[in-house]
Amino acid sequence: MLIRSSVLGTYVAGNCSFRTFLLGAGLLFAVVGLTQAGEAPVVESVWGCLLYASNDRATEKVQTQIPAQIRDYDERLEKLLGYGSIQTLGQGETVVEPDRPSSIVFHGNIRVELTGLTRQPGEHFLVVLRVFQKDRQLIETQANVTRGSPLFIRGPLWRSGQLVVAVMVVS
Amino acid sequence: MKTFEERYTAYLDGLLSESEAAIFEQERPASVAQKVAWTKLQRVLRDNLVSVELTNTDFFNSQLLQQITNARSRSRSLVVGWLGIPWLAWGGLGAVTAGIALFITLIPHGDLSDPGSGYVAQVLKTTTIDPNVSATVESRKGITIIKLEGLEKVPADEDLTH
Repeated sequence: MLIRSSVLGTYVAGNCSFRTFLLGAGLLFAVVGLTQAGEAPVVESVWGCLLYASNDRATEKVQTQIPAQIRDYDERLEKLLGYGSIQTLGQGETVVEPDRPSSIVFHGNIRVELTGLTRQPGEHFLVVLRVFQKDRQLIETQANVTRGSPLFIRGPLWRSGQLVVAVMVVS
Repeated sequence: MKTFEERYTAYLDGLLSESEAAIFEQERPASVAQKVAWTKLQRVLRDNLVSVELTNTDFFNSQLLQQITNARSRSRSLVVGWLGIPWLAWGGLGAVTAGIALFITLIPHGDLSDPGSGYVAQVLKTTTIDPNVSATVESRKGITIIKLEGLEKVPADEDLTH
């Protein structure tokens, strides 16, 4: 407000040419842009899902469709995990706010807690995430991710396969 | 019907007929003396007013041309910049260069033919509280997975779907 009024005041007073006005506006945008580009806490949506990787024939038949967010990763995931099929057990989305942990809770009291989401230059995000099974913390990790890049965490064994958690910044 | 002004002007210029002039003089006796004075003034002006020959007939034109030339050279010195290219063009070029540089450095980009090329999930640190649990990070092109080992198996009868 102060900047706008001073620029306008100067402009109206005739002490400032149009070029000076443009230069001032350009500098203002540059400062705002650099501020935005720097490390800063952000409010972003984070999506997560709980997957079940197995070689069950039955699972293959009743396979719940892989969420669209990670559809491109199913083959790579199967290859990396060594299982033939992947079933979705649950998914959720939460808004991560600065200085306030947010959680995505799945069935079986498996929970992903997210904190400290900060934006880095180049649309990268630093995020701290913890995976809990009931009240027991399984892992805490800090990761550098881009929007739309899921991070997978292979968890405990279940039935004849293994549970996998996927977490991704989506907006 | 002629107005008074028209008749008066015509009278002074001697354009009225004799009868008309006589009628006009009868109506306005003072006009006779005015016509005499006007005739005298005309004679004096004709005899004494000599047109002045200007020494520089193109004086005003030359002044105007001089001012136009000065204005052109002044504006030229303001606009033309380095290597004869106007500063405004240099400014535009600089702005475009800065825009491209910012686009390259700040906007994420990758090979569109490869769906995994834009993928970034870099694990910086992992901590497990349980000493029996270990975490290893496996990164392949387009996918990163943290593998936890040593976890207790989730009971098979536990329903994780509902």
